[in-house]
Amino acid sequence: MFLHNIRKTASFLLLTIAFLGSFSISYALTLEFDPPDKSIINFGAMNPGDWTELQTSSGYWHALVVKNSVALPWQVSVKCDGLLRNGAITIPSEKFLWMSAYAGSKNAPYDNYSDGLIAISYRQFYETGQTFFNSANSTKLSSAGHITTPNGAEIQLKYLIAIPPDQLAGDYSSTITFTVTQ
Amino acid sequence: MKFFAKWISIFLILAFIGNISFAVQSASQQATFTVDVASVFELSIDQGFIDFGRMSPGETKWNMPPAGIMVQAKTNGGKQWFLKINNDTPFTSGKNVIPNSNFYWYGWSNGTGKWYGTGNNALSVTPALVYSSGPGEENNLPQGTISFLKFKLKVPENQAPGNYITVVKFTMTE
Repeated sequence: MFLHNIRKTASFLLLTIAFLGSFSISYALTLEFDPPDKSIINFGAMNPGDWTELQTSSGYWHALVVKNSVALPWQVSVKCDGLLRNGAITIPSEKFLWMSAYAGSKNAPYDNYSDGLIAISYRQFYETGQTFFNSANSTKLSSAGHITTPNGAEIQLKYLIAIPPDQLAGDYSSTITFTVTQ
Repeated sequence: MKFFAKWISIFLILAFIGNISFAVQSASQQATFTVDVASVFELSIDQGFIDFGRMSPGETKWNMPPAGIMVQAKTNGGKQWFLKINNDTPFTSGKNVIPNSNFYWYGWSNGTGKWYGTGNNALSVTPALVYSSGPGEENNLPQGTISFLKFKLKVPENQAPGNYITVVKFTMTE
């Protein structure tokens, strides 16, 4: 009887452990650039005193595509690792700006999610993250359970830079990080 | 044994529930932001022709031109720069020449650097220093640094008549 009980207990334990081992939750929240080769935001050569917007004929430079398969709200934020820098020389942070003017579904019927944008205007980057899109603020996204698969939701972005008239010559760079969080 | 099996089962179920609690999910992408600010290294002058007019042998004219000329130097190269003056040939009319020792430049600058004019600097075919930039002028955009100059000419007493011409050059270098 004693051995029988041990066998039963051992079997139950083994089954439970095997079940735990084989059970995995598939969780998809991804963030990509579209098109992928536009992750470099390159203004090229500019003269002191010049300013320009960086966009294509489509009206934006690139888009962030968020694919989410879980019925939970998600937010997108952006931060910068510091000023545009060339060694010790910098371009002031208020001189290079970003804006998202449109968000929408990449799945038919291509709903507009722009009400999920926090603000539609040129803003400067900060080293601390700024949330600029919240799916909970979008009526269409909320009613769709915040799910954007299979093709995702896109957030279109464009950029502007104004070179100070007394800027020292050189190549300046900075790293921008976009994050989607759920 | 039943007692232990029951509690082990409860423990395992609780552990299982604990394993499916949700952690915060996130994903990130990085973009590189670059711009190439062009080098500016420019020299400009506000007038290109100075006419001493008709002069007699032995006559001296100075304060020419009356309003002076302005030579503007602009740079954002981050280095010290120098302004020099020379003429390729002295005042010449055919075979006749007024020596450079009779032709002077003078003036001043609005910069923070060094002015090499003594009030008695004669032109030469070899470039001579007019001004060297000072602190802060390695990037003097957008206004640049302006040098203001005038010229003096003494016609030798035995100078042959004629229309004499010289071309004065200003050169900006690092």
